[in-house]
Amino acid sequence: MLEIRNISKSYPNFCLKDTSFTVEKGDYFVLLGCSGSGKSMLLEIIAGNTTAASGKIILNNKDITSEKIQKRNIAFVYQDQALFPHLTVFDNIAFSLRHRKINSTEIYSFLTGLPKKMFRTSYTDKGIDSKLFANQFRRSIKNKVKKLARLVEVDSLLSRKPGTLSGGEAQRVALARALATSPEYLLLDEPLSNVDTQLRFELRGLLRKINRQGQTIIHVTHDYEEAISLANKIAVIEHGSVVQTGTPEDIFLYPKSEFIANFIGIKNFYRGVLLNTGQNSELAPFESSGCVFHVMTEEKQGKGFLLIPAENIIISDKYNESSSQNTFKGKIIDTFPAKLGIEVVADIGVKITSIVSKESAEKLALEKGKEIWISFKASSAKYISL
Amino acid sequence: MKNNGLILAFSFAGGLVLLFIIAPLLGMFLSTSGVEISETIKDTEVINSIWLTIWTSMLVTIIFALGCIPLAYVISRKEFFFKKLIVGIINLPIVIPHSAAGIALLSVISRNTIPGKMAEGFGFEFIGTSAGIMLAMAFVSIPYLLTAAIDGFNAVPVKYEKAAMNLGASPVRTFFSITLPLAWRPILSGLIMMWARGMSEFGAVIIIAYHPMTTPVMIFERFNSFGLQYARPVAVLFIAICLVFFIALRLFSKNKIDARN
Repeated sequence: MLEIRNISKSYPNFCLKDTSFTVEKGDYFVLLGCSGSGKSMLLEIIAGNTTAASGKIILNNKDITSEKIQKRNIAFVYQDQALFPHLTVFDNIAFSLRHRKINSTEIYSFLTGLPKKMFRTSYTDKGIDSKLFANQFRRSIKNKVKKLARLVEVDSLLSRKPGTLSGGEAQRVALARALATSPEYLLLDEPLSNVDTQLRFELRGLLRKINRQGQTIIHVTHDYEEAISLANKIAVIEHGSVVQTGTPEDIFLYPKSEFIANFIGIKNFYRGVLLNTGQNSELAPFESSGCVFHVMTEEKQGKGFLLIPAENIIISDKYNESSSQNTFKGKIIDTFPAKLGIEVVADIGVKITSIVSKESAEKLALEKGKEIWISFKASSAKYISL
Repeated sequence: MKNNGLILAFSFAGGLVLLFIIAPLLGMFLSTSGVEISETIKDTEVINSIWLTIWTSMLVTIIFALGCIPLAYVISRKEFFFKKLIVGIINLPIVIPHSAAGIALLSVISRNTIPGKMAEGFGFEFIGTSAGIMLAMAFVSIPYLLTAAIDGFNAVPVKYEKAAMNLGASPVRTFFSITLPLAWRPILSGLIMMWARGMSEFGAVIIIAYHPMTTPVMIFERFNSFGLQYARPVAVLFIAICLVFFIALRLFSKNKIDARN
């Protein structure tokens, strides 16, 4: 478990104030905030690249606030990857494996497969052939690099130099290089910001795969879609402070401050399952809490989130035939003035919010308890797979 | 086609500069006969002098690189009081006349001074020795290496060093496996410049050590005592040898990836 306790640090342009949160083992933890909110700085402090003015970082009940970078067992993937330009992809990934300090007990345990504590003396004393060991060690590095390269799908690029890689390839290599250290925590600074949409989609899948293999990840982003798609826990950071922490549902359905609500800007947010239509159609049913919506997506069936912008939801007082694939009968449960127009919350099996103009609200006499028809086009809803 | 006018004008101006550099050298080579050269090669005094010049300048470059490269790294990475002043002082030997630099150096290492006496205590002598020649060469050529190395280190983003340390490398390993290789090209350039500058040094060397005679001093001495005809073959031979070394080292340092590409 990684605990960040009251971390503060000031810079001329921004500061971190009393920031605290906890990341459990196995979490995919996303720090979500706009640029300049201090989230990348926080990541650098956790990695040990810079020190905090005050506060503590506790890793597995041990205070690592002033621990050396090398000893933290926390890997960091930089926004622009920071691959070593003079080394090949293979050497980049192998860097941490070669530069690890190895003592004799480790060598002996590696050679024999027996636990480290059984060996106290150096391998030469035990008559082990150091040349043989060197060969085996080299082979083990090669195997590990190949295994990691396969995981991130860069096995065909091992002899290339970083300068010749595309943004997506470089990001994959950076991930493999970080994973080679077998880190307890993997820190990612805006890892998907420099890649195009298609690659972003693939990289999200890769990050999810790495997390499912048990790797704890702390990921910094300004993109709420990325957060929804990847995180099992999100911390929203604003002006250097964590303003809300919780599951994606907590954050999106119950934003604790106006900032979060505005930043996220999504009122209708449902977790559910995309069902298989059985037909080769772009239109797919999405089921959430017994309510079935129709969405346009190329995604395959599976778990995910559905986002429907409140401005795209049409309210009428009788059933109208239209091109809309989603029409529901419901009852208004609340109305209140929004920044622009009136927010109408209705119950159609799940809660759904629409924003209408004052004139429309008066014309249709929208008030609490009134029965209405709600409709929206399948193309106006956005499905994000998990 | 119209746009070629500017390039043509610039090429003409540049060509004049090139001619200015090449013409005297070419003239000197052409006016020296093969017989003169072969006689000079047989002259042990000349060969010893060239050999002395080459090894002293190489050795002093290597010895001072051990101090200059770490100093350049500290200057590049750390902010400290008087940093700008120190960088200014480093470049001072380029600005002052080299004979004056020799006088300045002499006032520190002559037998009457404390460092001179201490060195004498250890059996060292600077005046009129190869050690003195090396000090004179170093004094005027260090700025070339230091400036190049500082530029080299400045071009390596600190981010790469942090990344290496994140991956478990110690500061020493980070320096040798990441920083130094990435800054190597400008450093090598600086080493070549320092060596070449040391080898061609005349003003400071002649003040500290007239004997043993380095080649620039020998060329001056022959010119003074016997005239142009006796000085020229030595100069031609020395320049030819320097060019061979210089071109070989330049070729060797090509095509390496560093922080700039």
